[in-house]
Amino acid sequence: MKHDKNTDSQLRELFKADLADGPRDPDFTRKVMNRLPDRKPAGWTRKLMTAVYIIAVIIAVTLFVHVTKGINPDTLKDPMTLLTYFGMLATYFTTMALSRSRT
Amino acid sequence: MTRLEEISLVARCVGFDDRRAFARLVDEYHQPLLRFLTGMCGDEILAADLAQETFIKAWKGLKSWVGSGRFSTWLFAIGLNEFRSHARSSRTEVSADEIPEAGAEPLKGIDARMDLNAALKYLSETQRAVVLLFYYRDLPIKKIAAITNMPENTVKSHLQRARAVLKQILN
Repeated sequence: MKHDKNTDSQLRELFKADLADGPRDPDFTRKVMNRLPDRKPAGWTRKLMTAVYIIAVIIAVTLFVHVTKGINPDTLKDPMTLLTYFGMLATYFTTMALSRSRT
Repeated sequence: MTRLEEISLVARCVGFDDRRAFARLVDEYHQPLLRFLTGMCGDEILAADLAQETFIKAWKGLKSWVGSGRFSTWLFAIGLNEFRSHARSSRTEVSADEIPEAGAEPLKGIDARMDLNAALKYLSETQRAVVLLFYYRDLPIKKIAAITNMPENTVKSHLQRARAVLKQILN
């Protein structure tokens, strides 16, 4: 058993060090990706969801403008407040984008 | 790549048809797969073709990878099947009669790298697959049994015989 373990570790080292590397092709991934089946065409449900997302974006932007319009301009000068508003908007758009990529 | 990363990337591929996620998996595993397939068939060009076919098949069958094992294990199983399909049609194995007898002159004048890659040709396809998965990929017997679709005892038996042949040739 000990002899086998020694043989095993020697063979393992030999395989790791001396096994042929295989061809190096920097374009391998690109070649594989080009051979993948085409994306499925968008069905009517996908087109409907796209329309819904566009309308949701328009509503979000309109709301943002409306909300910030009524705010005291001095409040908006506060960087943290401004950052918070932009952060909320960025989160909303990111969520929309991620949901969009599902369909 | 961790198992969690694999699961996350495959989920993106299956759920969102995210090709960039699949490209990440190809980037991660194509070189080890190429090395394995080159060891199996001894031909770099063939190995590259087989590796491409393996990834195409993996993409098409991603939904069947349930995430219970590593993605790489599943990928290598597909790669081995691709090799076997090709070998069935070409039948270029070295026969067992060509294995040097015990005590025969060892290979001389050839560096260690040539020794190993030449020695692999003296193993049967199954023995080659088992030693590559065991010594190169460091996989346990259980996973090798799953990849090669053989009982564990059969894998151990092939490993023992292959080890004996390699010792005989490389010594």
